[in-house]
Parts: sequence; C-alpha cells; structure tokens
Amino acid sequence: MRLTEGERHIMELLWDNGPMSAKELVAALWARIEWKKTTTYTMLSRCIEKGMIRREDPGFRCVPIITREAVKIEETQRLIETEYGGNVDLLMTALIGQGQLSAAKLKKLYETLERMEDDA
Amino acid sequence: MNLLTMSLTGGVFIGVTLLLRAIFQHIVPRRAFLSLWLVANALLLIPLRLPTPVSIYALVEAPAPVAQSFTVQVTDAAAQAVPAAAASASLPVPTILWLLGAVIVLGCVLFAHAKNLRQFRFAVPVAEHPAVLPARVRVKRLDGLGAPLTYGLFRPTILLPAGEKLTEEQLHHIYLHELCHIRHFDVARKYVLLLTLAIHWFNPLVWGMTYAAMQDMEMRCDACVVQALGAKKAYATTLVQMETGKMQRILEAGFSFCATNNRLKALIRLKKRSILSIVLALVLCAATIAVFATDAMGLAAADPAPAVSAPQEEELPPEEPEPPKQENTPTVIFDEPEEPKEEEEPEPIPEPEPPEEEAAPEEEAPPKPEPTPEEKPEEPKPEPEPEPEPPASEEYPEEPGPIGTLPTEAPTPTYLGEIHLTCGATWSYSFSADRPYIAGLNDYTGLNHAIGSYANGLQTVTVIAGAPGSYPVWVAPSDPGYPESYLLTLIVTEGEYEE
Repeated sequence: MRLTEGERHIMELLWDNGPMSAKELVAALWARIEWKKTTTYTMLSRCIEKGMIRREDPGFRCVPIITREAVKIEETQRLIETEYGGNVDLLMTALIGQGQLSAAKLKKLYETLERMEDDA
Repeated sequence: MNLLTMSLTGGVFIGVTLLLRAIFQHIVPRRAFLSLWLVANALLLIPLRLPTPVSIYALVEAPAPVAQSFTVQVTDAAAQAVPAAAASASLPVPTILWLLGAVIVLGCVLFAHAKNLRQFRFAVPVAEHPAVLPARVRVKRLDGLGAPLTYGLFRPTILLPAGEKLTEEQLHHIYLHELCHIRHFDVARKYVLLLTLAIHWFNPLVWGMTYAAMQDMEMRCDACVVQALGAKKAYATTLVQMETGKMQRILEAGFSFCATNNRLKALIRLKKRSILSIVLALVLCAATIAVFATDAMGLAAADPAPAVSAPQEEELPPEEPEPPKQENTPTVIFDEPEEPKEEEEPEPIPEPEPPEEEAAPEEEAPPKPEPTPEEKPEEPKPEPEPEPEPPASEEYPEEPGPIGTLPTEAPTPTYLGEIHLTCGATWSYSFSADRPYIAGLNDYTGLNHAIGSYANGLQTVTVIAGAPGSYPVWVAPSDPGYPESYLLTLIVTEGEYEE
C-alpha cells in the first residue's frame, strides 16, 4: 500500500514505539510535522479505514497492522515496475553503474531480492 | 456615485487596459499592467474620482450618473432608496438580483478556498529549509497536490507536490517563482480581484480583468525567474515538466494557473528590460490613468454631493471653494446665462451681517459651499455677499444653522421636508413674509427650478421639476447679508407618486 507522507510519519512512530494512544500520537506529530490535533485525528481515521492501523478502545490506542517490511518491499517493487519495467537486472545495472554497490552489498541485495520473488 | 457608475467607468478603464495589453504586452514590462489592474480595482471599489482637465469624461455631457465629485458621497442609490423605500417599503428588484449574484460568487470563492485550506492541513514540512527562501516562508509537501503553490497572506507557505521526485534545479526554479509571488503580494492581489468580482459580477469586463490579471501575475513571476537565472531555457523546461498539474487552484498563487501555453509563449517573446520599455510603460500608465481613471473638472465636479448631502448629512469636509470666496472679489466668473432662474443679482456690496447664530460653522460650510459652486450660474450673489464680512473666524459666519434654526433678524419658513414630484410637475408654497425672498435650487443640470415671487406680504415659492434627482431648495431674504435656509428637498422621480 502506498503511504502518503503523513501516513508514513504515523506508521514510523508506531513501528518505532509500538502501539501508542491517540493523544501521544497527537503530541508526537505536532512536534515532528506541526500537525494540529484535528488533523491528526482525521488522519488516524483514514488510516483505520485503510486498514493500516487498528483501534483499541480503552483510550483510543493505535496498533499498527501493516509492517515496515511489507511497506518496504512494496515500494521497492513499485520502483522496479515503474522505473525499470519490472526488470530487476536493470535496476542492478543502474546501481552498479552509479558505483553505489560493492560486491558485498551486491550479494546481500541479491539475497533480499530472491526472497521477494519467492513471496510474490 | 453609485455602483453602476463605478462599474461603467471602471469597465471603460478595463477595456482600455485590455486593449493596451493586447498591443504592448510583450514590449512593456508586465508590472505596468499589474499596476493598471490595481487602479482598475480601486476604481471599482472606491467611489472617488480625481477631477482632472484631461479626463475623458469631460467630453461626456454629464448625465447624472457619470458626474462625480472628490468628496465622499453617500451613494445615490442609497439616498434615493430612502425615499423610495419609505414609500414602497421593499427592495427594488435589481438590487435583489445583484445581491444574489454577489452572494453566489463570493460563496463559490470562499467555499473553494475553505476546501483547499482543509486539504493543506495535511502538508508536511520539508526536512531542510531551502537557503534561497527567507526564514518566514514555510515550505511543505502535500500528497495529492498537482502543482506547487503559495498560500497565506501573512505567513506565506509554499506547497510542493509530494511523491514526485523533483530535481534540485526544478526546486530552485519553483522557489524563485513562488518567492516572486510572495514578494509582490500576489495573494493579496488575488483577494482584491475576487472581491471586486463578487461585487461587479454583472460586468463581463471585470471577469476579463480577473483572468488577465491572474495571467499577468504568473507571467511576471516567470519573467522574474528568468531575470534571476539569466537564461530562459532551463526554466522553460521546468515549466513544461511541471505542467502535469492536476489541481489548478484559483486563490493560491500557483505555479501553473493559466494555460501553461500562454506562459510559454510569453516567455519566448520575453525581452530584456530596456530604458525605452520602462519609459513607454510609464507613459502608457500615466496617460491611461489620467484620462480614464479620473473625472471631468468644473461643473461636473460639484454636483450630486450637495443634492445628497445637504439636508441629510452634514458630514462633508469643507470644500475648496471656500477659500476662493474669501477673496472678496465678486468674481462672478460664471457666465452661463441660460439659467432662467429669477435670482436678481444683488449688489455685491458687503453688508454688516446679522449676528452669528449657530454652532459649528463647519457644519454650515458644506451646505453653503455646495450650493455655490454648482449654483455658479444661479447664485453668484450669495458668494460675494458674505465675503466682505471680515471672515474673522470662518468664511461664512452667517451660515444658516442646522435646519430649523431661525436667524433672528428675518423670519424663516420652517423646513418642509421632502416634496416628491414627477418630471414636469410644479408645486407652490407660500408663507407670510415682511420682505421679498429669493429662492434657489441646487441643481447642476439646470433643469429643475425654484422661483420666488412676493406680493402683499406673501412670499410664494414655486418649484418646477425637470429632471430626476434630489435637490435642496433654499430661500433667503433678498436683502444682502441674510443666510439662506433650507425650505424643502425636492425629490423628482419619473414614477407616479406625488406628495
């Protein structure tokens, strides 16, 4: 699922800190991105609708449903689809060409990608 | 001056500006047209006009609506709506329609604006504040935003589309463009434009101006960027790349408001500023403003003001004519002899005047000077009369007091209030008097008359209605040195009711 900037901030807070109450989220988001209380609450409702978080009710606790890993993988796949026509090799070539990959890194990357292909 | 007049004269100004813009827009800096648009807005929002000898309206035979004066006036509509309302107790249909239109336009604008603002809440500040922007400008990213824009009058915020990878260069261009908007207060200009639109929604030229002005704002900012960068191509590329903007917003000064095509064309034809182009711009602006944003001097400059204000409100500032009056020259410069009024010219011989009577001479000043300038053809005498009196304090020491105050020396008929007549009707009033009185009527058109006749201790005043409007009628003993007092206000309509 595609995360907007705001949603990403919310999820990161939850991934980093575990389930938080809405009040805590409001304070944290205000500190991070200057979001007002109403804005945060609206965004939380949207996240709940989209199935990204779950609400637990003594005290409006927000529990993440999607995981960081899942989002990462999805974004990477999207990147490969859009920019490299679904062709992972092209991505690899690009990264090598940019000099961003060392042999060790490359190896690790291939392992991750194989895992992705297994899941998909 | 009423709304229609403002709209008409404003419309003329807009038309001229649009024409000049069509011819000169690629020759003269955009700023010229933006200044002219500001003036146009002023013309449409403020019922004042500066009288100038070169005004185009000097050529127009002043029918009541076009004539204007430098003093602030209650709108004719309001003044005449009062008697009308008194009689019919309901709003006229055109006013209701206008109100409806204005509310609709304003409603749409405000609704769209509110909707946008609700979306903008979800924007997220960028990690690092760009160096090119001043600290007070905030930069945020917003998901779902089609094209960069700036909003906020006092705390400007630039919004960038989120989720799109923007290169450093593109960002640089965007920041420069938006900064230009901020520096020139384009957000405020848009608010003013939309306010004018809401009020003058019925005038198609105002719609034309709104569109043209918004275009001009964008193009001016494009020109600024190109000037700052020193080259056109890179920026033009950015423009094209940004063109895929989904949400084009009206209120916020956006990066791609109008058809990007026009902006590209303008960019292509953009030339460096030269002294010549600037001079040309100044000349065009000055000429346009002098001729089309002003009003005729002289007669026209003096009229409905008194008609509306005299008995009704005495709030007008003392007028220019006063000082001249003090010159003690019975300078009857006005030789419009066609005034068939009965005013006999009394000798402009100074007379010691009756004791001073009332309060604020200031309050008197307005009603007095008013009748004078317009009455030029009719009342040269009231002028010379009081002049000689050493105006120790003010020029018109013996101004008639607030309506109803009686000078102790000569009996004054009480104020009769409003007399409603239709065009062509006449009406007479008699009061007993120990001396003959002259009657006068403040009417620059010269179509309405007040005539006095005295016989056997009875003074009769006859008013003849000739043209619609509101005209104070005054009387004064024909002996020099007596103040005028208002007898009645003649309201002439073309309708059917009569008092």
